[in-house]
Amino acid sequence: MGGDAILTQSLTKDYGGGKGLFDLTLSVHDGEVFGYLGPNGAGKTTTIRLLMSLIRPTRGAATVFGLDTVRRSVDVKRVVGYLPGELAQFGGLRGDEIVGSFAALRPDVDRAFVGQLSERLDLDLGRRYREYSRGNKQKLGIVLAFMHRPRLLILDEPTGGLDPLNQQTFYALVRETRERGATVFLSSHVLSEVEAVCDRVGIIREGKLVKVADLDELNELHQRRIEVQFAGEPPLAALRAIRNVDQLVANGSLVRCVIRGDAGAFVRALGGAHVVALTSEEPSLEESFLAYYRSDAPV
Amino acid sequence: MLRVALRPNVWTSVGFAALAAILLAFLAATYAALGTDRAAAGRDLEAIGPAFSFILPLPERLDTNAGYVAWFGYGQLSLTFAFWGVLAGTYVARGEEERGLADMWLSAGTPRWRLLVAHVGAFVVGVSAALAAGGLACLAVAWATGEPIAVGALAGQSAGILALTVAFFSLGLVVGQLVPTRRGALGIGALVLVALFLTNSLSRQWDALSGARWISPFAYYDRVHGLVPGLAFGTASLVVLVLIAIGGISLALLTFLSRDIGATLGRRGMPGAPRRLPATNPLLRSQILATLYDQRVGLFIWCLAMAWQSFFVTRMAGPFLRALALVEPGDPTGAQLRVVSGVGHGTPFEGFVGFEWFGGLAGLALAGFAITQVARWSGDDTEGRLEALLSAPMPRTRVVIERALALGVGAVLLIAASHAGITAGAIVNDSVLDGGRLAVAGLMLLPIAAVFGGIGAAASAWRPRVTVALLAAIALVSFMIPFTVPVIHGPEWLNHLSVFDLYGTPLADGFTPWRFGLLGGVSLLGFGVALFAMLRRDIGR
Repeated sequence: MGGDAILTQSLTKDYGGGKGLFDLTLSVHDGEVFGYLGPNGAGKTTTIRLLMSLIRPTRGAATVFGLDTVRRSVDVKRVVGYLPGELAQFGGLRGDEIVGSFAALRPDVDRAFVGQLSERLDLDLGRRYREYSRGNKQKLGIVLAFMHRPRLLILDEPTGGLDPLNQQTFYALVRETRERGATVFLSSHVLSEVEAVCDRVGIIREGKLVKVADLDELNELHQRRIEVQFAGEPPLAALRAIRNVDQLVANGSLVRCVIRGDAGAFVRALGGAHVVALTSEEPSLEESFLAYYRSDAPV
Repeated sequence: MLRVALRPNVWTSVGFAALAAILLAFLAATYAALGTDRAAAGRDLEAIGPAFSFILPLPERLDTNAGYVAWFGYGQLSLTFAFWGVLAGTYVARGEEERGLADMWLSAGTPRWRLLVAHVGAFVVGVSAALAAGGLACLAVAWATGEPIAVGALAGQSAGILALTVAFFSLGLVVGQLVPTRRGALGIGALVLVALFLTNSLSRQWDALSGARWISPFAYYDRVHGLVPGLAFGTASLVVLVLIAIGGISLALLTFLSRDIGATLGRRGMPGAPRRLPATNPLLRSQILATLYDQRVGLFIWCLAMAWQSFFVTRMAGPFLRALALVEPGDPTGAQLRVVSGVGHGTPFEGFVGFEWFGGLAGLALAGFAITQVARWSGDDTEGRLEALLSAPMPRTRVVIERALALGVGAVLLIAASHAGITAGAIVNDSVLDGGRLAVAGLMLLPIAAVFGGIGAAASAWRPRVTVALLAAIALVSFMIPFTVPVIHGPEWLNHLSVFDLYGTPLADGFTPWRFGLLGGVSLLGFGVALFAMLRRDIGR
C-alpha cells in the first residue's frame, strides 16, 4: 500500500485537428477510488486505452504500479481488471462460455467469486450474448473486470445501461474493492455517480486535465437549476445576497436561478416566504462545465 | 421503403452480377474456341456431360452456343442464385431483427406487410439486375465471337432462374420465422436447399429418387428450357416456380403478422434456473480451440461440403474418363478436355482427382476458408473482441500466432474431411490412390490456406475493409488461370501467376520442396508483417 497505482507523465495521444489527449500528468494513489470526469469526447476513453496499452502514446509515458504500460503491458494486465466503454460483440457464445474463455487466460480466477458476482448482479450466464439486453451485457463486462480480484480496476463509464438497483450493487462492489485495498480508476460523465463512490476526482476537458480535486471541492462544480413559485412577492433581495446563487431571474411570483454547491443558504432564505412549488434539476455535466469553465476560457 | 430495402441488396447484387457476367461471358468465349466442327464438339461434350449430372442438368444441344451456356453457365448459376435466395431470405426474416432494424422500421409506423413486401420487391429488383448484367455480358461476347444468342431465349432462361431464386428466398423467409437466430435459419435453409438440389440431381441417374423429384423447385427449373434451341419453353414449370414463391412469401407474411418481433412462431419454454458459474468446457481453455469451438457449426458445414464435393469429384472421375476415352485422339475438343482435366499427370484417375480436386476446387475451398478467417480477424478488431482479448495478460504476438495455428487446425479438419470423401469416391469407383501421395497432396494444401491467411493478416492490419475483396479476387483469378490459359492458347508463364499453380500435382508427382518452400515463404512473410503491424498499431474501433 502507498505510492502510486497510476502515474502518467506528459502522456499525449495526438489524433490531429486538436483531438486526443495532451500532456496528461496525473497520479492515482494506491487504494483510492479515482473518478475521471469529463463531457463526451473530452479524452477519457483515450486516457484509459493508453493505460491499457491498446493505443500507443504520441509522447510521454505511463506506469501502473511502477510498470511501464507499453514495455510491460502484459505484466500490467495481470494486475488490472478492465471494463471497456463499449462492450465487444461475442455473438452466439453463452455468458458462461465467455467468462470461462477469459478465465482461462488468468490463473487467479475464483469460480465461486464469479458465482457471487453474477448472483449479486442477477446475471444469468446461461443465455447467449446476442440475447442479452444492454444492461446484461454491461453486467457481464463487470463480471469480467472484477472476477480475478485485480489490484487495479480501470472502468470506462461502468454504469451505462444499468438500472438503479444494479447501479447500487455496482457502487457496493467498488466500495468493497477499496476496502480490500485495491485501486479503482473510473471514468464517468455523471457527477452524482462520482460523488457516490470516489475519493478524488480528475476533470478533463478538450483533451487536457483541468482539475484534480478532493470530493469536497467537487461541490463547487455541482449545481442545480431551481424554480420556485411563491404565493406572493419573492424575497429577491435575500436571494440575490447569497454568494453561490447565479442567473437569478424573476417573472412575477416565479423565480428561476442556479445554485452552485451547498444549497443551505438558499433554503434558509426561503424560510419566511410562502412557497407554492419548488423544483430542482441537476444539469448535465456539459452544462455544469459550461457554467464552471466557460468554453472559451483558457484551460 | 423500397429504396431503404434495396440498400442491403446493392453490394450483393453487384457481386452476383459480376459473377454471372464473368462466368457467362467466359463460357460464351470458350465455346467459340472449341473448334469449327460444332457437331463433333457437341457430340463429345454430350458424351461427357452426363458425368456431371450430379451437379449440372443433362446436356442438350451442346452443338450450339446457347445450349452450352444454358447447360454449363445457367446450370451452375441456378444453385448459386438459389443459395443467394436463402441467404437474403434469412437476412430479411431474422438478420434485420437481430440488428434492431425491424424494430426501428416498425416503430416508425411502417406496417409489417409493407416491410416484408418492400424487401421482396427489393430482392426481385436486385436479382433481376444481376441476371440482366450476366445476360448482357453473355450476349455481347456471343455477338462478338459470331455465335449470337437470341435475346428472347436468354430472357426466358433468366426468368426461370429469377423465379427459382425467389422461390428459395421465400424458403429463407419461412425458415426465418421458425428459427430464433439468423445463423440457425441460414444453416437449416442451406440444408433444405442442398436436400432439394440433390433430390433432383441424383434422380437424373437413380430411378429410385425420380418419384420424389416433384418436391424440388430445381426439377421445374430444369424444364423451363428457355435457352436450349429447339425445345419448347416450359411455361407450366415457370408458373409452378412462381406459385411456390408466392406461396412461400404468403406463408412467411402470415407468420410474420402473427408472431412477436424477436421471437419465433412457436412458444418458447420457460427459462430454466439461471446459470452463475463459468463454463468448464475444456475447449475454452485454449484460445485456438476456443476459436474453433465458436465456429463449430460453420466448421461442420465446411467439413461436410468438403467431404461431399471431394466425393462428388472422385465419383465423377470414372464416368468422365470412360467417356473421354471414347473421344477420338485427334479431336481438338477432346484434346482440350484432356488438358483441363489433368490427364497426363500419373494415371488418368490420379490426374483427374489431382487436377480437378486438389489443384482446383480443394485449393479454392481452402483459400475460401482462410478468407473467412481473415474476415473474422477484421471483425475481432472492429467488434471489440481483440480489445477484450488484449485486456487480459496476453502478448500481442501470441494473438497472431494463435490465429495462424487456429487457421492451420481448421484447414487440417477440412483436409481430413476431403480425404474421407476421396476415399469413399475411390471405393465407389473401384479405384485406388497411393496413400503416401494422397497424404502429401493434402499436406500441400496447408500452405495454400496459409498464403491467403498470411496475406490477409498483413493486409487487414492496414486496410481491413478491402482485404476480403482483395483475397477473393486473388483466389478467383488464381482459380480461373489454369482453366483459361489452355483454352485461349496463352503462354505457359501465365499459369505461374496462379497461387494454385504453385501447388502443382503432388498426387501424381509427389512432394516438391521448392513449391512447398515458396508457398511457405509467402505465408511466413505475410504473418511476419502481420506480427510487426500488430506490435505497433493501435487497437480498436
